[in-house]
Amino acid sequence: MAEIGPVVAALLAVVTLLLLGAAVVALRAALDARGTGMTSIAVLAPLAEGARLVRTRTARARPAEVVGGALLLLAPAVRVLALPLAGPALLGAAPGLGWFVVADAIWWVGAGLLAGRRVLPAALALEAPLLLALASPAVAVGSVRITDVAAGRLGLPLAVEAPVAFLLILVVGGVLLPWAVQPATARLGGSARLLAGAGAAAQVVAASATASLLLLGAGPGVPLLVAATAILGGVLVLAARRFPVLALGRLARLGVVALLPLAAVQLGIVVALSLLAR
Amino acid sequence: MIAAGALASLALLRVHVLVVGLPGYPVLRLRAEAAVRARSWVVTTAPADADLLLVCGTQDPEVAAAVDALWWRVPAPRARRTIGSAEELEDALDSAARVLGDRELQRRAAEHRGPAPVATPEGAFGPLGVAWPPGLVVECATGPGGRIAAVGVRRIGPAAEEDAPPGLLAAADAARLLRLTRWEAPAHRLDRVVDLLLAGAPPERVRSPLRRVAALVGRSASYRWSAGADVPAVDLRQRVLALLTAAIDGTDAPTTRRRLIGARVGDVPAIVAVTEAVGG
Repeated sequence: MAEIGPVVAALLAVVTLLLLGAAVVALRAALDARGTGMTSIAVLAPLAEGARLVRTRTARARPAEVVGGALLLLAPAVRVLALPLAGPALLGAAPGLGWFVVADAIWWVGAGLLAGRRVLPAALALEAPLLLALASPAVAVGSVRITDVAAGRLGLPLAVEAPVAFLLILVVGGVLLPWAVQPATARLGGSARLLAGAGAAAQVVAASATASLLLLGAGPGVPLLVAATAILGGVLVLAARRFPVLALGRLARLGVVALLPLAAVQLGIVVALSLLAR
Repeated sequence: MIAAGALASLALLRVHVLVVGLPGYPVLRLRAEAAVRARSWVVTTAPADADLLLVCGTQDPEVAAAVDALWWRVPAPRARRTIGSAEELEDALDSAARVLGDRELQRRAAEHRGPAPVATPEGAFGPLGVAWPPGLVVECATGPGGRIAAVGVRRIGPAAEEDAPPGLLAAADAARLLRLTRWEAPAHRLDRVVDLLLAGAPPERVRSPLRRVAALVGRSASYRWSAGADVPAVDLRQRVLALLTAAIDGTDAPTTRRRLIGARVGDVPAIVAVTEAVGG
């Protein structure tokens, strides 16, 4: 990537994000069609849905809904731009894990514009364990810079010593955040629905890329990262279908009762391992 | 111009259809949904997401006003068709696709949208809605704390309904309730069962997929935890399982209003979905 310039690298990263997001939509459409026993043109679903929604002129388009949808799409783009592919050159310095917090804050503002203040408890309850999960690899390598975390420790992927953190980064980012906006998105039409739907699909990809790079060590080669992201994204889509989409209240409860203690225990183990290794 | 044409052609590959079943026509509605799926089109439940409003049955004036209110919320480009029998389905879908692809017609129609419908008063539900028994009107008066203190229930339209294959309506209701409780994947599998029954498959042919869905719902701890929280004191999961049992046995399910007293107004759709047969 070094020879192609930061802006081109950033553009390529965003285009890859959108293409893999389209693959997520196509995979879901294909699985739905298979469930109903119909032959399907599912591979064209992202294009057809996009064309349909671009043509739509909503009777009562609310600016807040369009802005909310746009923020949902911006959030995974910010996540991907912080990754070492384009981030350090584009931002002038190696970004820290705080970028993921910024990306998630953008996501929750967008979610709030679509679903109202009801998202706040779920946002707090899901972000707290996610922060602890992100802290685990940072403690393990002794740095909050994304490039250092991606390089791992002792040549082993960090997922080996922090498997729960790996799962939390993957599942909270790639499944639970999109679930938080799914009912609100289902009521939308036109450009707001297009943006929010694209954002929800891209978020699956962004979470998979984050987990692949930070904890599986699927870098620095771009093909390996894209392959790992595609595989993890596909697994997330398939796995999520086995569960009902949780309502906001249940997401908040899940975060507080289960995910936060799990993340805390994981961080404690990583801290203990780091102290023993000194 | 070419780009706009290509856009329209692509959009027509996946038309989203809001199928509205009028009172007394549950089987016609299910046949319409099956025909939509057979074209790789999408059955939607949100008027803002629909391209085509497909009305199944003949309209009572009070129901007609509810259909008009739904139609007003469908964005352009849009088409509306009404069918009285399954024989009219394919022609209606074909002509709707032509209308949706006609940009000049759509441009003119968008300029004559008509006035907004009168808003439904708070606490009034029906006669049409998502996972709502067609023709059922529930009017709630709230007391202190916003809780329902009195309920008026009435039905519009014919009391008699079309004959349906055994278990068909129970399977379709289970699919609708699964969607109401946000679990799409098993609902798609029940759509397949509904399509088979509509195509004349014997009940033995669908027992196995129905049992698999019932086993999935029955053993899912996450669904028990999720659906159990949706509405206080109403077990949506048990209702899904009861409907699936009725579908496996080839029967249809029983049906109330006492549950509404003391409930929150926002919970009325889920409570009605639990206690009333939606009729597909």
